[in-house]
Amino acid sequence: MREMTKHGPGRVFIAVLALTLLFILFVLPFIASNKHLFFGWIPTVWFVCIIFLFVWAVACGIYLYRYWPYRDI
Amino acid sequence: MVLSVLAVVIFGIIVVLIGVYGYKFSKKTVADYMLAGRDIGKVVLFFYISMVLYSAWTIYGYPGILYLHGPPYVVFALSAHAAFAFVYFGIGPRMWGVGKLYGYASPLEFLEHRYESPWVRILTAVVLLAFIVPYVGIQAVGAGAGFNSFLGLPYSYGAIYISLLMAAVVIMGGMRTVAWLNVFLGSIFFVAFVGSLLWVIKVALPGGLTEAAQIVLAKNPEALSAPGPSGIWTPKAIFGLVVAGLTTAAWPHVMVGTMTARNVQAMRTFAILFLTLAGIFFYSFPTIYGSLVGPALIHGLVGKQADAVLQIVVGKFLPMWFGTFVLMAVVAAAMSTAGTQLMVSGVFISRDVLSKFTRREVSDAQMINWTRLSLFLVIFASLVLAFLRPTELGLFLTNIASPGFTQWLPLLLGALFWKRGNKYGAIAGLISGVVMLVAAWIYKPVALGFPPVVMATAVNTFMYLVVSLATAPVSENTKAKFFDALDDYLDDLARQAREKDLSKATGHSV
Repeated sequence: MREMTKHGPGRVFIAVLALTLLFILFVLPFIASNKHLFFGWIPTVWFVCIIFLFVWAVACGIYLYRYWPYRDI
Repeated sequence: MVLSVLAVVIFGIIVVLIGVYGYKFSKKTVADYMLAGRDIGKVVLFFYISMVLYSAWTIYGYPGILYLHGPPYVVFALSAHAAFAFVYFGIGPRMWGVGKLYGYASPLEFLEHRYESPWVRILTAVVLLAFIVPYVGIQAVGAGAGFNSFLGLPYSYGAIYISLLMAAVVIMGGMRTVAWLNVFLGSIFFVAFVGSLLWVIKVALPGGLTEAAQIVLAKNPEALSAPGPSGIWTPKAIFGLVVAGLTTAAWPHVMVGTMTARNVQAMRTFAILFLTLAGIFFYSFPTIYGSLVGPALIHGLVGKQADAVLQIVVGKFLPMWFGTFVLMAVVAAAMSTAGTQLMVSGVFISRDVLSKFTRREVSDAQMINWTRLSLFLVIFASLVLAFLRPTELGLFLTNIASPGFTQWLPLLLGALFWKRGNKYGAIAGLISGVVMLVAAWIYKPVALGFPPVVMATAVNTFMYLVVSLATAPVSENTKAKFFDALDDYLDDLARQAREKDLSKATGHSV
């Protein structure tokens, strides 16, 4: 992770991960009581977690394959 | 019944044969036995580490908690997926690099040299073993529960069966065999899980999952949102679940996995596959079982009974032969997790504890034999714990094992990323974290309303930082060895790999 902090794309990547993590830590606990079911069966708390993982996966896909200094090792 | 038992016996024979094959193939060196020769590629790494998380707990513990307390518990599992992925792209390259550069076979060996103290290594090993051995025990509990609820055989038969299989595989084959075996076991696990759920929905819920959700909500309108049917998921408790999920990054058997990878690209691929294929796709299946299908089709399970909700659904709605397949999935999941944990436990005992108390040089053959002996002891201890079966499976993982593993995270991250961290901070943090954890279990108000892991990790981190800053840093040589030299090593590897790619692309040497 030291290598990520040494260039712009790495810092953006870390910022994206950190922001989503803060959302899951401090916002999700308060919206978990929402009773809406996505697609008629996915509870809100679970849906938010799926979006969280999806954002991480996209961020990893872009950064780790295009910008990561260790991508060729 | 007879055919089911026969199927389970044949399954066991296949597992033992894989162990025998692994024994013949292995190179009988410490690196090969303990770290699979540092040569695990992308696909095997995915199955190997996925099956560490997908244990008997995924079939018996996790759906049981969802059944009893509602879907907010999914937060723990999915944040754990993020944590595992982070380990492999955020921490993994440095762990992998330090292992390759200095030949370490255990992360604790690295800690000893980084902190210039054998006591950091021994103390950390003891703490991790104290939590990992019971966790191996709950895999035997899972197999015992499966034998009992599906075959009607005594609980002890399943626990002993899986312990014997685990002993055969890990003692003969080592880490490489465990990794390969996880591919076989993972395939059975995924097919059984996905197949059984789709079949149950087709047979028992013609209106699909929407119908299941409506049935669950008709019984209890609070069942699919916080605070859940039992009212335990307050915002503070959900915050605690996220923290507990993230702390799975500290699971020692996951961390050791980074040292077994063939290269950094394998870890990168693993991270993305684990977030998508495992977290978003596969983990939907146990979540659906526990929060929708189980509560919709089976009523009135309480306490430990709920651990078996998946098995009960399958037994009630699917033919017995498929139920046997699901039972094998239980055994596969339990064995794959326990196998990895056992290997790590054996390495910690032999290489990180026993070898510190002998003054003579230990050969590779001797070290492997010590590890095998240690494995016997761990299997025996875990079997004893399985017979005691102290708590529900789901609660054991989130409340005891995972918080315990977390207590080495501050000192490990500090070792990798913070030059100022020293042995005094590491030892003070570790001891205060464990003391806080135990205190919070005994007297809950100490945790100020948070799950014990939150306060224990906060105290641990605080002590690590403050004591490290207040005492003398490690030597400049050590700093250079584990920061500058390691950075240079990884940068060199990256440059060489780019030059190789470039020369391939242009057809010229660079």
